Amino acid sequence: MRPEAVFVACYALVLVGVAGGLHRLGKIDTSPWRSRALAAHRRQAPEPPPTDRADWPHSEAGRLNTLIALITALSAVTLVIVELARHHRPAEIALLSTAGLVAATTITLLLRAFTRRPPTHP
Amino acid sequence: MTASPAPPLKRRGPLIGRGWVQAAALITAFGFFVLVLMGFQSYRSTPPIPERTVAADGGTVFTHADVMAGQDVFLKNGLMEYGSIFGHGGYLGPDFTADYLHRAALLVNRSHGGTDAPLEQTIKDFRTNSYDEESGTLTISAAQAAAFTELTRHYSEFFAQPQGKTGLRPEAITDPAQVRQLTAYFAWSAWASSVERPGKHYSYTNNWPAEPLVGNSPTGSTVVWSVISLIALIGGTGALFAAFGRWNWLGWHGRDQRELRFKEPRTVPLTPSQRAMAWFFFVMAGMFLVQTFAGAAAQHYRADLESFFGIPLDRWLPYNVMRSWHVQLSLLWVSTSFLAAGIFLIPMITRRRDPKGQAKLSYLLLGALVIVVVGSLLGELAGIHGAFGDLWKWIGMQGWEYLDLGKFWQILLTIGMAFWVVILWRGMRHRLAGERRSNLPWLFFFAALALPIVYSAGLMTSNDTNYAISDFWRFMVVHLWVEDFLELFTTVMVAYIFVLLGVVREKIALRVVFLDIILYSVGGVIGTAHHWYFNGEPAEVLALGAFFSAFEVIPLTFLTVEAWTFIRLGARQESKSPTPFPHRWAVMFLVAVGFWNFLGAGVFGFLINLPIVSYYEIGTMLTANHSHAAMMGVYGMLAVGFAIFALRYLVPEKYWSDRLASISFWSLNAGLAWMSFATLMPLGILQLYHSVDIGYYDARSLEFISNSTNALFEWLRLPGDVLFMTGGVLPLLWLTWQAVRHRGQHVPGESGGSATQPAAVPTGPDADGAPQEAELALFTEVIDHPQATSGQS
Repeated sequence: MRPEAVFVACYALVLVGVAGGLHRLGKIDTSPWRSRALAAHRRQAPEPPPTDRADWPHSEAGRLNTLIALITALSAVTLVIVELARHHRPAEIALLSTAGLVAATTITLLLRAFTRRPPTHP
Repeated sequence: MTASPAPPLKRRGPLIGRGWVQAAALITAFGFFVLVLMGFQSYRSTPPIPERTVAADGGTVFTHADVMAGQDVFLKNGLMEYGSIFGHGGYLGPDFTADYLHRAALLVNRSHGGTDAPLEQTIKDFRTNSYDEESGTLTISAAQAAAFTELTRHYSEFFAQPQGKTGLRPEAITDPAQVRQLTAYFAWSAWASSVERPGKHYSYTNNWPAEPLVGNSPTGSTVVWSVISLIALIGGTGALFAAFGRWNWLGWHGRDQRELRFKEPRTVPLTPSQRAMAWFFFVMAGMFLVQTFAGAAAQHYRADLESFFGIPLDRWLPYNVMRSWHVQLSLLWVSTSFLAAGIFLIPMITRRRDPKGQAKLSYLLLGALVIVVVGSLLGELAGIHGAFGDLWKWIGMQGWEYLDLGKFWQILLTIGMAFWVVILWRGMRHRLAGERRSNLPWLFFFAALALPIVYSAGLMTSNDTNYAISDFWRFMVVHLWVEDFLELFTTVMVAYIFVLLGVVREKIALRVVFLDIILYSVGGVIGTAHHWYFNGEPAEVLALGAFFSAFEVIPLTFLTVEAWTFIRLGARQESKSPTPFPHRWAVMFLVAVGFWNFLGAGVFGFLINLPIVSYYEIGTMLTANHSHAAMMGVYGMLAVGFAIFALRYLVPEKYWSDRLASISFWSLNAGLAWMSFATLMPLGILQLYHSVDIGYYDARSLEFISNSTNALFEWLRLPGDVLFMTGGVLPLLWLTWQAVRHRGQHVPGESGGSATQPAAVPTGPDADGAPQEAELALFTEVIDHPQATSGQS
C-alpha cells in the first residue's frame, strides 16, 4: 500500500471527526444562562424570556457550523475519490472505500441537518 | 450646511470606574515597556555583518557592502514574496537561509572527505565563531570559501534560467555581480544561523533551521518554553472562565427586559458623507475581486510551474508579483472597509449633520487611496523588472513581505490614514467635547488614531539596516498593527454598533472594550515576539514570545464566547420586534467572525505557535492555513459585514437582495473552509512531516513542493476557490454597485442629508439608584417595561 493512499484515507477519517466535532459545537447552547462556565451569572441574573432554538439568528449560528462541517466531509469524500483514481491496488481500494463510505454517510446526515430550515429562517 | 438645531449635549460623566481605566493604562504601559525592551535587545544582540569575510588564506570572500547590496537585490526583485530568508517570506521558493546552509554544509562535508553524514570537522567549521569584533573580520575555512564560489555558480544558474519554470520571471537576475552579492547575503544569513553566539552554545537564530550537517537542533529554550507556553494557555483560559463564573458583570448583558423596535433602513436618513461611502465599498469589493484573482494566479504556480493553461504567465506576472499583490490587497481592501465604516458611523454616533465639506474630504480620501493602490501595485510590477533605478525602494518594490509597496506609497498611505482621523475628528468634535475621555466616543477616536500611528512604525524598515532590525519594525505592522490595533478598533466599532442597535448598554460595551484592551496588552503586544523566535533575536525574546503569545488565544476565545452570547441576545430581541431586523446578514458575518476567530486564529494559530512546532514548521503551508483562515475568516468577514451593514442603508429596499447577501455569506465561508481542509491543511501536515523526517531544507525545496502528491492537493483547491470568487465576491460587488447607483436615495424628501435623529434622552435611574447613561440607540426604539426591570443586574 502506497503512503499517499494511507495518508489520504487517514486524513479523510480525521476530517470526518472534525466535521462531527464542528456540527456538535454548533448545537451547544452558549447562553450565559445555561453555560456552566457562567454559573454565577445564571444564579444572579433572572432567567431570560424563553427563546426557541429556531429563533433567528441563533439558529443560523449553528447552521454555519453545520455548513463548515459539511464542506469538511465533502472534501474528505473528494480526496478519497481522487485518490482511488490514482491508486487502486486491492488493499488501497478497501482502505479508501471504507474511509469514503464513512465520509459519505456523514455528508448525508449533515446535509439533512443543514437543509432542515427553521420556520423563522429569512 | 449648518449645525444641527439640536441642543448641545451636557458633558457626560464617566461611564466606567476609574479602576478599569487605570488597569488598562498600567497593563498597556507594561506591554509597551517590554516591547521597547525587546527592541533595545534586538539592536544590541543582532547578528553582526562582518566588514570583511576572509578565507583561511587571507583572501576576501565577501564584504559588508556585498551583504547589504545582496539584501537590496533580494528586496527589489521581490524575492521575499517568492521564497524566504530566516523563515520569513513566500512559500513557493526555497528558504534561502536553509538552502544555502544545507548546500554549503554538504559541499564542506564532502571536501573533508565525508558523504551525507555529518563530520565533526564540518560541524566545527560552521559552529566556531571566528568573528573578530575589533577588526570586523570574519575568518571562514577554505572549504567554506570554496562552497561560496560553488554556490555563486548555482544561484547564477537558478536566477538566470531563460526558460523560467521556477515561478520567477525568466532570466530574473543575470548580472554576475548582483548574483554574487545575493549569494553573500544568503551566506551571511546561513553563517548567523549556524555559528554560536559569543558565550552561548546555540546560534544567533536559536539553532534554526534544523540541519544535522552543522549540528543545528532545537535548543533547551525552544523545548522548555513550548511546554510553559502550553501551560500558560490552559491556565489562562481556565482563569478567564473562572472569572466569568465568579463575576457575573463581565461580558455582554442584554437589555432583556426591554422591547426593541427596529427602524426600517429607508426611514434612517443619510448624510452626504455617508452616501460617499457607497464608492468606498464599491472600490473595496473591486479590490477584493482583484485580490482573489492574484491569489488564484499565485496558487496556480504551486499546482503547475510550467505554464498557466498554456500561457507563459511568468513572463508578465510572475509568482512574486502575484503574491505581493495578493498580500498587499488583503490589507488594503480590509482597511478600506474599516475606513468607510468609521466615516459611516460618525453621523450615527453624533446625531448631527456633516460638518461643511465632509463629503468632499471623504471623496478626496478615496481618490488618494485609489492612487496609492494603483500606484503601488504597478510600482511593484515595474520594480521587479528593474525600473526606477535608484528610486526602486521609493516607488517600486520595497520588498519586505506585507510592506512590499514603495516607501513613497507607504508614506502616502500613512498620511491618508491620518487624514481619515482628521475626517473622524471633524465629525465627532462636538460630541467629544461633551464626553469624558474614558467613554465610548473617545475610545472610538483613540482606537482610530492608533491606526496611522502604529502603521507609521513600519516606516522604520529599511534596506540599509540589518535584517533582524528591519524585521523587528516590519512586525510592528504585520502583528501589532494588524493583529492588535486593527482588532482593537474592530472591537470598539462592533461594540458601538451593538450599542447603536440598542441591544447592549453603553456601560456594558465599555467594560468589554476595556477588558479587551487589558487582554490584548498582556498577550498581543509582548506576544509580537512569537514572530522573532528564529530571526536573529536573543533567546530571551523567544521565551517572552512563547509565554505571552499563548495569552493571545485567550481574548480570541473570549470574543468567540461573547459573539455567541450576543447572538443569543439578538435572537431574543428579534423575536419581540414587530419590524424585521434589517441587519441579519451583517450579524451573520459577525457570527462567521466568531467562528473563524476560534478556528482560524485560535486553533490553527496555536497549532503553529509553540516554538518547537514553529522550529520545523515556519514558512510551510500550515502557516498559510492559519493566515488564510485568520485574515479572511476574521478581518475579511468583518470587513464584508461592515459593508453589508452600511449597504443596507445605501441600497434602496427595491434593489436590495437578501438572497445575494446570503449567497455571498455561504459561498465565502464554504470556499474558505474548502481552501483550508482540502488543500492548505493536508499540504501543511505533509510538509511538516517531511521537514521533521527528512529536513527543513528539503521540505521547502521546489522539488518537494511540486511533487505529484502535493500537486494533487493544490489542484483540489480549485472548486473552493471558484465558489469563493463567483459565489462570494461577485454578489458583493453587485450589491456595492447598487449602492453606488442609488446611494441611499430612498428616503422621500431627504435630499440634503439631514440626520433627523432624536436627541439623546437620559433614561431613569438604574436599579441601584445610579443615573444611567443617555440612550444612544439610533436604529431602534427602546421601550421599557418597568415591571420587568427590577431583577436586572
